[in-house]
Amino acid sequence: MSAPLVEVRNLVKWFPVAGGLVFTRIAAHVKAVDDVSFSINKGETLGLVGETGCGKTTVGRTMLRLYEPTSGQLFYDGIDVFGLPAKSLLTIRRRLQMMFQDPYASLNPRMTVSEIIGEPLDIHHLVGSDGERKDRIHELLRLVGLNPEHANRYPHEFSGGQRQRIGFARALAVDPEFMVLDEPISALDVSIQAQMVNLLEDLQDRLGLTYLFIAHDLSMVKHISDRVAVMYLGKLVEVAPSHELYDKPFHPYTRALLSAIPIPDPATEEKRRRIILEGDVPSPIDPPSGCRFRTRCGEAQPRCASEEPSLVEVETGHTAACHLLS
Amino acid sequence: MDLLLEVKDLRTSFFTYAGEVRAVDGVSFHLEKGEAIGIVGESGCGKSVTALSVMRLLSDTGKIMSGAVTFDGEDMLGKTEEEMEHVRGNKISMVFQDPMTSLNPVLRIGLQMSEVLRLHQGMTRKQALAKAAEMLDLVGIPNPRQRLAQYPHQFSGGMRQRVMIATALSCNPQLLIADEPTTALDVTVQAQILDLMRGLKDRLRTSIILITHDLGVVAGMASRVLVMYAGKIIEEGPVKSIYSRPKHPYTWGLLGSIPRLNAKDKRRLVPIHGQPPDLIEPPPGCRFNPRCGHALRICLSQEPPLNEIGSAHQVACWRYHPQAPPLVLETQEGRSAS
Repeated sequence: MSAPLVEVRNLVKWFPVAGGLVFTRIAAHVKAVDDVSFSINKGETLGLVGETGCGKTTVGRTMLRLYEPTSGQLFYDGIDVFGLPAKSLLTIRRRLQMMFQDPYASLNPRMTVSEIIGEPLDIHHLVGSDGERKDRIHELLRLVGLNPEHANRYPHEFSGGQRQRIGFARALAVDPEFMVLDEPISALDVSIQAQMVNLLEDLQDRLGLTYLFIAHDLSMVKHISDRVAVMYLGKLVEVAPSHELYDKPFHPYTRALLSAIPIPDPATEEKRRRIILEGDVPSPIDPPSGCRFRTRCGEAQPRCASEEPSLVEVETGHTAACHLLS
Repeated sequence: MDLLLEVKDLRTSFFTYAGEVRAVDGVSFHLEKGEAIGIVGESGCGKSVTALSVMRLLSDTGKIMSGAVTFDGEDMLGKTEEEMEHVRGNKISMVFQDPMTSLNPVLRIGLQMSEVLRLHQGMTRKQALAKAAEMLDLVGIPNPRQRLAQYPHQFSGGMRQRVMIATALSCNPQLLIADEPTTALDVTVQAQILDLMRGLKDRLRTSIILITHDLGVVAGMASRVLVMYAGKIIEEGPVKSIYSRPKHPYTWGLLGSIPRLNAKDKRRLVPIHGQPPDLIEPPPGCRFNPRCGHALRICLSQEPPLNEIGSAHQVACWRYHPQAPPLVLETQEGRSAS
């Protein structure tokens, strides 16, 4: 097998928390992402799931250096992305793009659609003439299923689903190879979500894109991803091919997460046994010692409080971080 | 049959600068005592406005144009504002979507919870606080006494929603309207809250109207489902027959849009094309016709009535008229069209 396209090694991102009354000092750190490693192959979709505050968005943003990493490495096609000087970021960002969650906040309301999609073309000097620019914008709009005649409209004239298509067209403008999709569908209605997911899948096939798909909706992640990584409080707890993760979840957190999803089928719902987790997610400022999930885990042992479990391979291509497995 | 709530031909409009928005347009349904029903639909379909109309909690721009709402034998629309205040929070309670904004951030939880009891039940401060502590215990909040002295920001989202449910149930209402109670919560917390609501429903025998866009949430909770689209009920039936044999092409499409967690192989999703209509100028005839792959000529001009087609299963679609060509909806996993 060839080397993976994206390789993240020991990624750490801590955010400082300021404290003090007179002189502000750094009182603590929010350990948003704490030693996360994974890889993504070319043409693959890796799903990254977890609940609010688990650090999944921070992983995506740090990978594009929208946040500077605290430590760790990212190799993209052999290039050390975190080692690049700020000046060279422009070239790498032509290859790595991002699509954001909120279709209402991610488009500038004062720019027309053609200005929004044209901006990356100008920044990267991808078009020579005005005519060429216009043709490319129209082509991109058609690609994401929008009417090119709407290029001169403003974002407020579009619905949420259409706005997400504009955001997608903007990311596609520079012909990227890899895209971080940060909850691209969670703000949309059910019937519109399916349209968007089909579009993402079609364009992945046509343009040979590689995706990191970040979401909290596990059924949608299962549908779109080849492999799924589950995150809890800044750590990866399980990584597996998507069908395997759903058939044979190893980590107690993954099992609880899967059992919590309501299934639109009353017959199945009646028969299911739910694992209801107690309490809330602990604070990432002062995470529990050892395994971070132990405070809510029904199977925790004394060892879980003292030793931190690392990801071990339980089956080919299926890793989990839990002491119960060894 | 013990009828608790009956809504007949309810029409609610909002008057905006762009024109009259007919948010709810001829909705009729009933609810029996101890029953839990689900109202399902996408944003803007009128599901929340239906609930707000029953509670008479519409904003100044909204107006109930016609219809009748009978609750426990009493006409709700004829009541004065003062009489309504006696009903709200006492006989009918509501839990809202956003637990972050439904509590007052500058008042202690205890004060907010006891206010309801003092107002409706005439309790003293002490009695009300004792009852509030009892309610917090009921919804599974540890150390209820200490918690009453805390402020909302000291509670997590799931905890706040528990406080909202405890407050709503404190006067022992006959009807609880839960408007997207778990939408703002994480799945594991959602499971906690739904589990709590199921338990309380059985214990307190409160009737529930659950409003949601999540078909999965309704499946485990309600016995009957109403599907709304563009201000109208387009399908209604027992939860089992709605999910296993959906009749309306919209319900069918909605179910086809959700990937199934227990699906064996990967299949393409079947989305509904287009956008929901503008309620200022809804399309003539069936409101779903511009997005429907099965529309007939009559669908473009005449509105289909809600007709009974099976046991307690009703659908508003011309394709189920005896003279219409038979409708074959493509098979989805676990569902058949017949």
